[in-house]
Amino acid sequence: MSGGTPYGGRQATLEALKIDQPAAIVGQVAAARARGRFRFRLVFAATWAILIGGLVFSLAAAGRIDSAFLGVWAPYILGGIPITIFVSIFSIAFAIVLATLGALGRISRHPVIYAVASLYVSLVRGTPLIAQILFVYLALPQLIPASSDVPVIWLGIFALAFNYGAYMTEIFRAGIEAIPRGQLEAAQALAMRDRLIMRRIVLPQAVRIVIPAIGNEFIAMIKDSALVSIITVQELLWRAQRVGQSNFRTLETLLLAALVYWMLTLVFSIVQARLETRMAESDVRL
Amino acid sequence: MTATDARPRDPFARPGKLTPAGADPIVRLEAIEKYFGSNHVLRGCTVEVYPRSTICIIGRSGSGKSTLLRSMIFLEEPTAGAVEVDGLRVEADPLTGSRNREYQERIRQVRLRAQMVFQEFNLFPHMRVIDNLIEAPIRVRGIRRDEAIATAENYLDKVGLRDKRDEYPARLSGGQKQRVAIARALSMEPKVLLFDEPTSALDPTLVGEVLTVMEELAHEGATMMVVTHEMSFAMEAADLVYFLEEGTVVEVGPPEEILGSPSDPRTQAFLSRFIGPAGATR
Amino acid sequence: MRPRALVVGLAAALLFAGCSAGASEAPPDLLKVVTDAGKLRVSTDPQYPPQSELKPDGSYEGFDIDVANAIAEGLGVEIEFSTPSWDTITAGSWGGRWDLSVGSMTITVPREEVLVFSSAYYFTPAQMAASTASGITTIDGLAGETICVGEATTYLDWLNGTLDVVSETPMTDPPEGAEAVTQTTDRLCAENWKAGRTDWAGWLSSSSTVQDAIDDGLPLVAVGDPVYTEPLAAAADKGGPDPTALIARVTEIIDGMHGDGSLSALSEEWFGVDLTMTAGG
Repeated sequence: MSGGTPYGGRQATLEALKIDQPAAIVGQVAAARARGRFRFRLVFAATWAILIGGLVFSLAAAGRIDSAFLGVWAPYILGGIPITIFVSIFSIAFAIVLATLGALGRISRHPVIYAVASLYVSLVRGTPLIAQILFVYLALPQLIPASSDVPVIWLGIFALAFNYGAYMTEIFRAGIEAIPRGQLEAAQALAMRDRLIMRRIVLPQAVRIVIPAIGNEFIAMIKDSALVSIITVQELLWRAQRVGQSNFRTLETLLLAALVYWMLTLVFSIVQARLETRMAESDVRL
Repeated sequence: MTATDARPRDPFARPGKLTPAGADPIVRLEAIEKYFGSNHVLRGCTVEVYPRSTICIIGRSGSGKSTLLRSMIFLEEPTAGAVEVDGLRVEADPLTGSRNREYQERIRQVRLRAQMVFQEFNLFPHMRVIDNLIEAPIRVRGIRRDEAIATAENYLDKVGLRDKRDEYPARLSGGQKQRVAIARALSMEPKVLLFDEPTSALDPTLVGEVLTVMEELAHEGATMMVVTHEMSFAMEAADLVYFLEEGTVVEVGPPEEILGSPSDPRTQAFLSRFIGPAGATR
Repeated sequence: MRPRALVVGLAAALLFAGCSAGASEAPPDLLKVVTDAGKLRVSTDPQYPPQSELKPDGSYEGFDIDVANAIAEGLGVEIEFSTPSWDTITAGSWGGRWDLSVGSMTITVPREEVLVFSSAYYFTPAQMAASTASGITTIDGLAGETICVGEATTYLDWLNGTLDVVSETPMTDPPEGAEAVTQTTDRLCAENWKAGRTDWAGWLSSSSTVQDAIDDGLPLVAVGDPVYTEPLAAAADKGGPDPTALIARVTEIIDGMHGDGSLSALSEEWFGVDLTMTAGG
């Protein structure tokens, strides 16, 4: 009756744990777990607040942050945020298009298509992004005179999209190749032609696989969009640099810019996490 | 009188119980050879199937039975031989076939006539059940949408899953998925139904519902070629049972014969795994 | 069939691109381009008060800005500013993105190979400075030291002994054994000292920039007399449409502004002193 076998000692155990009724165990365990999670999150948030607060305080206390200056210039600098987001969104959108074409090219059996796609990926991944952006700005007008009339923001978007498209090509290709062979066989058995299979069976499933990866790429793109400042697009970083350097206050302005990039990244990371949870819950489980 | 006589014939093929009198075989697999690398998996199999008859193909794993079925619709490229379905003939062309458009198109025509049900179901997970069924009829056979839906719903009824019409495959049990797969194959209204070990991936408790559907189809006069281990199905629904070993047809006969009292010792050896004392099957 | 069509298509595209690049029609006149468009596109680098700097509303102000506005007015066209980096402007080959640089650019022989200059609109002394931390107070004291300058500036050329400019005041020699180090802009050299770092002891920039830093309380002192005075002018790209006519008109306008005293007035306004007169008057 005491301890001993699971069945014999059950009553004693329940009493020792001060559990009311056996049936209520489930609810009480769940509640205890929820309390534990809440505690964890509370401490997490508190730690962040302390660390960040400490950082800001020590910088301010060292007397090196001119907050009046920031007050005057913050509106102008923050005015670069819409441009940063604009550049990021359009760049990712075009990159997705390029990546889809690239992935199809990389799995193609036509030697010419495969060669072009492979060259695209190899060249773009083999040269620095900043060099590609400068190339589009400086060298392209010498090859295609008409390109000097294109507003620089679109040149920047093109360069970013072209670059990210190459990296995402491999991601998309992996997504397509992750589709189980049985899917292809079933579609072929139904006498579907290759194009139809790609369009209706493979790509729709591949899209679901690569969406989390696209989210990651977009978050990286937000930061890389700062590179178009070197070709005079007046986005967030450009403004922070110009204002800071003219007034010997690059510490303040760059801190502000860094903070904004971080906030943007945080927001989109949360959005992406929610998206992934929703997709995992949805009817389509792969 | 001439070329037809030169072609390899299946000496065992016989019309089934429901085959119309005087009918010719609707399926001919002629001397199918298949090498995987240096592995000679199929060594010249010739199988003929009469319309409205059901044949079962049994054998060990590695005997080539699945390969034979898959070669019929060119999911495996036969190294040699020919496939003929409903008068449409395609000869194996392993060297240049993959680049030959006309060849690929003929293969597609064969597939239209011979629909397959796979061991792993292979339903399209991003589409609802009903959409799985109507996708190919609409986009491959060009059938109008409302007509395709009506046909699909009819077949869903037949397999007993009309109420799952709007579900996604992930929500279905294995047996339900396979029945949907059968309905999908039926929706294309093929001449022949192929089954590649349709119950091997199923939990034993779910096997029955699928076999019931298959037996019903056989009794209603579908032309079926079934690769399976389920001897009960063979007994119940097959007109002929083909025993395959090491890529050749060893023995063929009605199920009572092959399963009850096989002549060839290899057949006997294989079936001894299934049969207990004197004829009892699992 | 399809791969072949693709190869033909690719070849055709490349050929077409090649043709359009190689075959240059007679380049149009830059002045005509500007007057046809009714707009003068001027480059400026808004990190150099008082020559050019940003206002909180995103527009620009400064000495160079006002001079550019006056030039546009003189040409009878509107003005539009763009903000490429300094080394892009001095390198030429602007790709037709802007028409004129009014950015306090020194006329140097190497630059004249790729750009066409107007007459000088003012003159800037090059002033040496040293961090208070280094304790250096004479130019000789900078011998063997590291001196920071802006990228692609004449200050760098002077330190390297390669400056080829007609100086308005006698040019002196760089301190013996002094080593040059560059930052993307002049001001970053000084901000390094503001941050408490001592990566270099000296800084060479325009006298107005140095004075600006001192006024802003940065820890540095001006050292010695100006080491040279450079003529600063507007410039146009040789690599684009023919700029001769435009530069001629700009020179006319600038000479006019010298004559009627408006340039001097602007200089007084922005620098507190008249820098537009040559040493000879």
